[in-house]
Amino acid sequence: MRSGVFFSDYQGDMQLRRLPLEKLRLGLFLAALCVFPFFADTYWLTLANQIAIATIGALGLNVLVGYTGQISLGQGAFMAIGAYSSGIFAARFDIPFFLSIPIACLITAAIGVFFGLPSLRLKGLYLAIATLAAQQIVEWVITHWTGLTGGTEALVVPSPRLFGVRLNRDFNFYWISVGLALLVALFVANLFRSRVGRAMVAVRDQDIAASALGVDVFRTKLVAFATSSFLVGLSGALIAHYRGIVTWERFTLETSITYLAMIIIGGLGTVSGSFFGAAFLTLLPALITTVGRDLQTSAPGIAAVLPFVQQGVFGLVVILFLVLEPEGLAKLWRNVKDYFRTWPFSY
Amino acid sequence: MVKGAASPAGSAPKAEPGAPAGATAPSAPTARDAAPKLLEVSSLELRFGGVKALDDVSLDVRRGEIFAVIGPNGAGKTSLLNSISGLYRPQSGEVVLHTEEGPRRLSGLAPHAIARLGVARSFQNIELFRHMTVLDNLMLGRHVHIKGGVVRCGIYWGAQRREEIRHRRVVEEVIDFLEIQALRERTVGTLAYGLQKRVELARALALEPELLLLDEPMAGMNVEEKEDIARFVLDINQERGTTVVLIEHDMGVVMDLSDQIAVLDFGRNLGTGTPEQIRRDPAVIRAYLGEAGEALIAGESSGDAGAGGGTAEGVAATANAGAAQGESASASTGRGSDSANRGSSDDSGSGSGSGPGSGSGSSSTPGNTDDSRAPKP
Repeated sequence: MRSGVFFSDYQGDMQLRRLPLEKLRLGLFLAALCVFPFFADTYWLTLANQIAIATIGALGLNVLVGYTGQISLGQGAFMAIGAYSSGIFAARFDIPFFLSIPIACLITAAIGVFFGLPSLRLKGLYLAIATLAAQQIVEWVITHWTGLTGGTEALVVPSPRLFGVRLNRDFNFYWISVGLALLVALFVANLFRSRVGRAMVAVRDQDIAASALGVDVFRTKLVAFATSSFLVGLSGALIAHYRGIVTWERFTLETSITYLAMIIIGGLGTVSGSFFGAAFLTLLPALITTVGRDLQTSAPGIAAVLPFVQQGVFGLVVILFLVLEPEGLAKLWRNVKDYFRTWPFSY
Repeated sequence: MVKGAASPAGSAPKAEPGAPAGATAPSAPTARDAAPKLLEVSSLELRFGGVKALDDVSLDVRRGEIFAVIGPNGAGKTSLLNSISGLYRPQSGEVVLHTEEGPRRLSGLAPHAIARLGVARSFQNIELFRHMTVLDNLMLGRHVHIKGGVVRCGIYWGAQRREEIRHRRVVEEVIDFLEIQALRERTVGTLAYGLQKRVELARALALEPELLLLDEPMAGMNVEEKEDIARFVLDINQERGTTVVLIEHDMGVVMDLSDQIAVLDFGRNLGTGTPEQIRRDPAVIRAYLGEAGEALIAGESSGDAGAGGGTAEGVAATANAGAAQGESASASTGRGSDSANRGSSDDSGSGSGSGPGSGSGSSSTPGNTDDSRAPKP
């Protein structure tokens, strides 16, 4: 609970960042984001792009799972729909990326609503199984509808161009992916401080009470599915245009679970948690790989066991996080902030 | 203040324009009939498998009154409330809400549609959004009044912000009304039980309902907290003109607050009437006192004023009724008016039970709620 902060108008009281320190921190973060690409090499820019895209996907999943409480194992499927739709529009119909991406998002949203229909009757794990079906169905359709998707062959997506500039270079794409990630973060933050987002959280916490207050529970769930799928589709579409090639292996059940891990480690139902989770689960494998590569030069025998060690360390770190801070990285960050907010007079 | 026993001597706060149906003496039921109906429940039947939770229940709630539903545990009180607010679907019967736009059938509507027509409720076991702040809980109470879809909410700045601020003002009024200013930013799950109950009342009130359904708003509270809630319920009814349907086990509070009382037992409506009428209704006494109550009824019909003297059961019953009065005074107005209150019921002279019994009754106040509830046939 915040204390000692008073506003004389509601506008001030309802701000996203209410304290001068919070505003300063946000400003510094944005400034760092702007400066970063001019100093970073390709390796780090690639990671930054991956993190930004994963953040969008995690935010989308968080809308559904973290905020609305509808567990979904269909994240990979929805990303695939976004990636394939945008890729197909761009590759087959020569539609520019700035049109194909929104179209892909809308398609994903529509399909998301369709697969959200079971949520009328199903809750919790049962709904999770229903979304697992969505995952399997979409995978099957993609690999078998060869005429449209290319089946198990990779779908090659033309490079996105704007005014003759090729955008899927790491440096150029950085501005798109990070810009969109910031916009999406802002969108989600706004959503959950106003009517619709509150209704979603209400459905998660007490659906009976929510309905008694006039919240149309089923409709709210469908809106959550639509919003979530829209954002997840966006992240899928970005992957398609960033990589220039779409394959179904990138969007399997493993992807769904990785994203679930992201939002759980980052913090369910938080915007910052989506970012932390995405960054963590992107950087951790990269770090493990780098360390492994360095070790390889000193101890060549390690190459054989490296993949297993990677998996093991990854799992271990995830479990440690869940045990030590069940509320995720966002909670850790909040603790740090709370400490410094009143520092040095913490009493 | 005992509204049911309103008399020339007693001061009856209900005699206000906001509550036309209130404070009518038992001898003049026609005054109540004149007030427009707000809620009409007719021959409602609700079954769970072979169990009849509600069996041919009918009742009318008039605009502006406080309508209490009492009955032993498992009598179907909460089932009735759930049927009105749409959480249960009764097999037969009708619930009609007479809104300002005309009568609307509530049966068959989804709970959220019923809430939209101006029916708010609280729950017996608190159903707050535990992880949200008090403010957010109350803003959810405004849900049906706030406009804005996903896109507008996501963009927020501009129209949606004005909308949110407009409704925040209303919420702040409710916060002031229920005196929970200090709790605004607290997470609901961290609040004490009594405060949570109050926040739930505030949330229902934020909906600005025409009809407020309260399911045991004072359950598990101590005397001071009960006093607070009783005062709030009266204020809600009188200042805001909200019609209240109340389930409560504390007979003192019920007798004190209500204009009308319906008694449920085994899903049937044993009778509806003013507190005075209910207190003397043989069927009600039988339900509350069991077969032994029969003796009481016999005693009551034989001698009017001296009823208390007859049998042991008779003494118990009068003590019960008197205790109800004693506690009711403490619940709403504090002990200061206790004696005046007792005086008024004496003056009215209506009492088969309440007159002679009041003295002993108020002295046995602690624990008498169990008295009125426990004996079940």
